[in-house]
Amino acid sequence: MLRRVIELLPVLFLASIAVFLLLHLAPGDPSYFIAGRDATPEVREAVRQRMGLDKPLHVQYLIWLGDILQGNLGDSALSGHPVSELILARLPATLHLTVAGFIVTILLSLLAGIPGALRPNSKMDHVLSTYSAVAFGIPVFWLGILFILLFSVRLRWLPPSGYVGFLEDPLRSLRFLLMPAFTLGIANSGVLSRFIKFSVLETLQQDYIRTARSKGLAERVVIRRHALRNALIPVVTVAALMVGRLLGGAVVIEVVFAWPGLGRLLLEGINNRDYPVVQATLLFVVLIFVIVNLITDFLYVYLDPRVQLHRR
Amino acid sequence: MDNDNVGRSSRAFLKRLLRIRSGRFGLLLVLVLVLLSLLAPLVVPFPPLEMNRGDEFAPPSARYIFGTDQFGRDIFSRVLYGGRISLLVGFGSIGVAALIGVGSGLLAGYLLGMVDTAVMRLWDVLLAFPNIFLGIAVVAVLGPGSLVSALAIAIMNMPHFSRIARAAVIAEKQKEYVEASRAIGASSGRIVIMSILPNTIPPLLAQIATAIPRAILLEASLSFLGLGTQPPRPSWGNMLEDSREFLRRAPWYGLFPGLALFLLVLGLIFLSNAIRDLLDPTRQNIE
Repeated sequence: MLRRVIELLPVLFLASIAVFLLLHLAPGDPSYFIAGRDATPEVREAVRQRMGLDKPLHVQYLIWLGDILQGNLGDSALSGHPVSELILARLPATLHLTVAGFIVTILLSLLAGIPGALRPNSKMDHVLSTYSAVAFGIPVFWLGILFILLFSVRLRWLPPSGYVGFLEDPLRSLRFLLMPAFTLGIANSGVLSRFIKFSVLETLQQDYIRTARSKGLAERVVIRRHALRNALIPVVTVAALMVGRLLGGAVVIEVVFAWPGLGRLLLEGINNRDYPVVQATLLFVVLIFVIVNLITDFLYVYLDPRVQLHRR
Repeated sequence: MDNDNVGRSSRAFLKRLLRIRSGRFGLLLVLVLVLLSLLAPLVVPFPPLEMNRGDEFAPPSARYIFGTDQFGRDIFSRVLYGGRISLLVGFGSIGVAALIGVGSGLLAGYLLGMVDTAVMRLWDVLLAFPNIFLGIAVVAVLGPGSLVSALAIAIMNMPHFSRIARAAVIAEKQKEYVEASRAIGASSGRIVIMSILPNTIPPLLAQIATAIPRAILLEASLSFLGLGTQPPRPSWGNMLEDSREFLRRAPWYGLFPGLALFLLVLGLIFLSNAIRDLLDPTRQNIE
């Protein structure tokens, strides 16, 4: 397991170089990007000194990385606020959305995946397969717009945009959360429900299922204790990999529903050419993504003792 | 295979594809949308950028079948023109990704060693960025635009093609027929291209078929975020972004560009499922 962690280090290292280089590949003087467009020559000179912008690139990288490892992500070129504060301020909204979206994804995927596998080629199977295909193909932002058109414009049941923290006012928070979470959940359930269906189908054909049936176990027990338990092991890995898709989807959904999360922060950073914000946010996302992948691997080993990470 | 043979086997493939229900349905949807987009200049009632004063926010009618936007531009015409961007970026970026990905994968798999390590590490880094974030990173450097988003989508697809090609080379390299070509003095390049490459075609085709609808969705997402195709040039993504402000006044604006995108992607998914079933002998009986 330790080896798996160590293997990730070069990836993180190279990803950090890629993020670092963004600033230098972009056309223009980096000191403008860091200090802001309106910075006086003195301020830019100070930035140049502090970041070592007159030094060779690898020295600059080490200074930048050193700062980041000490938790100093730099200051926004636009507002001057520390980027770490900006990220922390936006993180709760994104977590709120992705966790809720994840729960909806899992619920919908199980509901849409399992019945079709238990009765292949039934009417139910066809309906659910169509649902999966539609959920997979529907553009997530369009689904969000359709929800707004239906539930806000026509029925006036839910607010079209905005965000209230869960701890501030749980009920109102839920009203704002419902559409974004379902948009995210439906869009992601397309892939996951198909995966679940095929995993269950495959498991049902295993010898041990035939054994369980032939020793006279009730079908319900066979399915619950033997089939689903085993079929859902690979699903755990895929579900965790969904986190990458969820984060990506969250960016788009934050725009649709004016949700003040990390995705919007990143886009504002791009639009304002606020490179410290863009770099730090990207690095943060990559870190989360890599850690989630790692947890997935561990979870897989834990759930299925036959798997060993280094004998693949 | 000579040309005649290729022609015959692709006709046979098409025949089998049409025998699958999802293949027929997908092909029909895709063909209709592709034709409408390609023939847009002949089909559309209005130029896509023309503003019809006094007809702002006109609801769908015989004159404007999808209605008009806040400048009185005909949404139907803009949707057809937007389809050209989607198709161009979708097919173009995957074409480039396949070319570079397969090339690098063949090289890495054949040479192994340092080249292999370097290429595969590069892909590991790219894969560490969830898709849309890689797109955002590329736009951060190059600025927004259709071409940049196409490039970003090509880059994020290269690792998959490269890995498939590499795996195929490593598997095929051990086989007797490669041994035999080497024994009769074939050069490495000839072995890779003439003997190994043809064997990678089925998995690559399957990968292309799955990657194209995703690429089209991603292009639309990037445009929706304001990072792809820039207004006033219409793309389905930037039209939907534009429509958000006017959902109450002009709900049709938020409806039709998305519907076109959804139908195209759905058609491509059905088509790709059918193609995958045909290419993978173990899945033949699913339909």
